[in-house]
Amino acid sequence: MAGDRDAGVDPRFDPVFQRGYDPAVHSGRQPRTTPRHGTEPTPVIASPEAPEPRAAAVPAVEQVASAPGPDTTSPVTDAEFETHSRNPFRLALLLVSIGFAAGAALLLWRRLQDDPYGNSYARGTSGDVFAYQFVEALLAPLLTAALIGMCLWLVLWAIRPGRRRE
Amino acid sequence: MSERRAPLIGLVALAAATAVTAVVFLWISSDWQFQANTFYTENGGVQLAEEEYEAINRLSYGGYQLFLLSTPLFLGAFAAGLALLAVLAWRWDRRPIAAEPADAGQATAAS
Repeated sequence: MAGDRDAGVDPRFDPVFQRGYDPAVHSGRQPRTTPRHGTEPTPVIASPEAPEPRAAAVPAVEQVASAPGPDTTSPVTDAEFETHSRNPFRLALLLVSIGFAAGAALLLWRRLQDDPYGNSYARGTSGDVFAYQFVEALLAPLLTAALIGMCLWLVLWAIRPGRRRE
Repeated sequence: MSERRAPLIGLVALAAATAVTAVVFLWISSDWQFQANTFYTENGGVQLAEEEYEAINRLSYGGYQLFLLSTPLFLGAFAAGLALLAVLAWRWDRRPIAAEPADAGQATAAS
């Protein structure tokens, strides 16, 4: 401990971010304490002359599975990000939501075309009553589901990760 | 059944079960309400026993309650379908990326 303090850095923290950091002296040191979840510091590359590629150090599947989001601390340039490919399920979510909204509008239009005195309901057959109630029961859920779907689509769009080339 | 596929199957089952239940509720509701409507139409202006009116009112009211229940059931079915699509989209965005042909070509050119 005393030796570390004499060297000018606090051993509890990464020496890269401390005053008096000297790569020749402190390049091999790591912080001693266990970092809090989600605040792990970027591993310090021991020798700047021969940096180890990240993709080679950690398998790609583990990177994707363990990373909570895009790693903004790693020295990644814009050129390493590829254009995000289209997500067919996100597109399907949008189309289904629009379809729900259109269905709700169609049912509303059909309801407006009905007999305003409700004769199809009160004097119709059992099938007429079923059709009347089916439209009535489906209208509000369709519109609600359309709104939920569009919100989900926007959320998925907002949190989509940047994909990195291997 | 794999662990990753089980929740998706659960969502599909939930969507199907709620949709079928909603349609069944609607069918029973429309049948009861039709019976009540027919009774009211046929016995309009006729003095009936109070028990008869109570029975037919219960039928009509029960049908109305089933109709009300079918609305959240439909919403549950739609929500389960949307959740299924959202999960699939989420997994698609985070799937392991294999080296695509374009990437392989660029890597060869770079080397």
